Amino acid sequence: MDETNVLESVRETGREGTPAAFDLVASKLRCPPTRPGTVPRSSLIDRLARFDSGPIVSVVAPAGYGKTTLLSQWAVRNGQGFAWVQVDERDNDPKVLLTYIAAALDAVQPLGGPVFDALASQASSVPGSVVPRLGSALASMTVPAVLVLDDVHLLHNSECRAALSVLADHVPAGSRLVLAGRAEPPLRVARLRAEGRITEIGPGDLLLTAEEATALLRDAKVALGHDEVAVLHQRTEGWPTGLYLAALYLREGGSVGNAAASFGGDDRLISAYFESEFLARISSRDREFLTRTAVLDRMYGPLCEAVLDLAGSAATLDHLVRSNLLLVPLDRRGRWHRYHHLFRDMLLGELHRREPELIPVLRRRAAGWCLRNDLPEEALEYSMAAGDAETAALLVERLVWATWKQARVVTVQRWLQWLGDRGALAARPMLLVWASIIASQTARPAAAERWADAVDHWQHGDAARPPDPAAEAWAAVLRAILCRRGVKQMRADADEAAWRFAAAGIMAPVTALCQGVARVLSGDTEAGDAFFEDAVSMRESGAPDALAEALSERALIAMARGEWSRAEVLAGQAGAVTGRAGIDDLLTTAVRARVASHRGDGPEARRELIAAQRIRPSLSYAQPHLAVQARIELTRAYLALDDMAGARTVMREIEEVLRRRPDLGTLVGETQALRTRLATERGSGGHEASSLTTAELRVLPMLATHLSGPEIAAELFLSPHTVKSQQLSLYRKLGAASRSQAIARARELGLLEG
Amino acid sequence: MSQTARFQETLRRLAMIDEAFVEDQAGLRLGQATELVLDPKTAALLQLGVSVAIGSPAVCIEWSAGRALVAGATDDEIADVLLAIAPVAGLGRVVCAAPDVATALGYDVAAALDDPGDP
Repeated sequence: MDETNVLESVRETGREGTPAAFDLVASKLRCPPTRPGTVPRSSLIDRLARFDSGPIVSVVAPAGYGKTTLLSQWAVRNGQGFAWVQVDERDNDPKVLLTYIAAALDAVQPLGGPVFDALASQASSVPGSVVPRLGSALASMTVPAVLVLDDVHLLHNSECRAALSVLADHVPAGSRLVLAGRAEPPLRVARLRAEGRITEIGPGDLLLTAEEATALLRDAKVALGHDEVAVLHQRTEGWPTGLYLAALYLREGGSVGNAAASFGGDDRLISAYFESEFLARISSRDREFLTRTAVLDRMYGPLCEAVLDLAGSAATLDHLVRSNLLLVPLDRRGRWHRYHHLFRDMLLGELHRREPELIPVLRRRAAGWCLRNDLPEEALEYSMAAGDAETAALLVERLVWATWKQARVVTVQRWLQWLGDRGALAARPMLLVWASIIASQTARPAAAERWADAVDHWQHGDAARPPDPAAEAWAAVLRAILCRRGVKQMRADADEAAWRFAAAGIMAPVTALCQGVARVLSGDTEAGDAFFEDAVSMRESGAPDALAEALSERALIAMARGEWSRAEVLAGQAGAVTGRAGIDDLLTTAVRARVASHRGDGPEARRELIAAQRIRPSLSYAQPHLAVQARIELTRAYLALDDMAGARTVMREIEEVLRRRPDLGTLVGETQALRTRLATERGSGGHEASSLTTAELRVLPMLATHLSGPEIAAELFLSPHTVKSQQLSLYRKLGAASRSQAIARARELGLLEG
Repeated sequence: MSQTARFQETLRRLAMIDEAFVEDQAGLRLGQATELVLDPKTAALLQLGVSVAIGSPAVCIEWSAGRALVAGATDDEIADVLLAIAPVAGLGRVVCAAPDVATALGYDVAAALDDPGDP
């Protein structure tokens, strides 16, 4: 397998210790080698490398202007300190993109654990936690680094784009952030310009001078007179790709007049040339090879053979690699290549015109080869591109758990969405359960309910369906977590999950946890504690979030019994678990706030309450018992601090959950007692910042990005008016009169990291 | 960073109702009188009702509703203020204020009316 493994992890390439949550594609972190004979762009590099040029560099030009070539020449000249990230479509998952950026920077100078902890956690907020940590790690780098993101125009995910604008504010003196792509980068360019912090390289800068054009033609071994070079340079307007192609064309015997007419600064002309000249003149075998392999993101001899179903294709690839400029090498051993983007677009266009029916066939073959060669995720992407929902569903089933554990939340959502849109989930109960659990844990309660309905429909809609013990067990867990039909049913669901798992010989702490919660909510605290003890004893086989939750539940029971020192120990253990795993857990934080306020440690309680404010938006009515339990403890902690504003704000959130899930057993009585107590309190004092609502807390991290109010509104599916008013309310509560003051104040208070 | 001129700072802080600023610079006491027989919640609800009745701008209404919440009013009580004052304040005033009150309660009326999935 060694020979075919494109997914060499970073560790294998010698960057030991980069604790990325998933295997990184090493070639994405490698600066592409410069081709021998490429015209050196010394004056441009001088401009970029000048000490006084701004910390941000944008290189914006259409395809074929030599953006990547320029930057790789700069990297070669610099030698050290280049952190390169080759962006592709799959980086539209903020945790993926930022993991690559962190890994690239980590290779220049180690960034430290907290950055990778936040990246590896599914629960961590990208704008609230990951970006601030990465930003401050970048800002404190002492080794000058040049962080290059190439093809940044492929990023359309708004969290990814927002992250870049924040990172741009954290580039330390002497370092550079370089964003190269076909469109203006997602930065506040006007502001950066006004502050003199950006160096902009545009198409005009990338054009070759007459001398450079002469050098290019000379290196390509095309003997032309001075006047002929001048004509060619004038007609191509110095467009590097036009000149390259003209050189190839002339080398094959074309006339200067034709070359000048064909390659003039416009890729439509190149396209016409491609069809009428280039593809018409090469052998049909070569033409088929080129157009058909254009479906591949990356090419490798055996993969090409499989896709074309034609022996000898590997040799054709070798031949092409040696003979022309269309291919970009991806690894040092010269096995993997990709087409230059401009040509791939044209070749794919040609394939669409000539053999459109063949495209899905080729992609399916690519998927098949990837699957046989242990590249399931590549296989999945090719299956999706081929529209093969059945294979894609099988592969998602295989990959979903691991990918979710790697915190690639947006990637998993994209897969599930794709399958859902094609009706490919209805018959896949495990995927439906996963979709619902993931939605419930990412604060998308409506989606969690929709998927849970689909699970119910699968389970009860067809009496003749074949049994599926694993899915039935997980469906019971899901029902218990969502607790949509009250505590009695939750208890039955949790017990059902337990016996189904036991029947399958699986130890699952989550079932013991659900059983325990159902007991506690039914008023049977003793039995509940026994289940939590079981869940804790299965610590080896459980996820850290389940373990922390079980310990926190035990701490709550100890508090209710007045055993505060025991509660303190358990809360400490829960905190240690979440700390080690780098996860945020609202219940653990709430319990810690309570024990701190009980022992009279106001500042510590306040710190935990602020931490809870950062996490609160993530816990919705999709996990109603947790959402309410944690908030009851937070309300009590606020009351202990005489912070009525905080207590009432959290209380309103409890009421909101109870409105949707009225049957939460003993929690209803506890809420009523708190309600009565709050009603008798006449004061309205407290920290202004404690009265920030969940909605405002959700907007807060987005204010630290370049997104405008309406863009934030679009992101949160709210009206611009609402966001504007939340923004004003945030400013008021934070005592700020501008966005930057609000951010600074929120950082000071600990509401935002960084 | 450019410096904010004094007039800019004044206008901004007024526009967003920066309480400390309004009290210090505009001489308006926003806190409730301590000698009132009315409890703070009732007083805050009254202030909200009057804000609506006199046609105050959105930011005032959101601010008043926010203060009523902090004083312990429930969402239902705040919505009831609109119903209670409608006969004297007129339909126009309460209709106009409804979306702003909703905003203060974290309920996006415009988005909700547009949401195909809302029951």
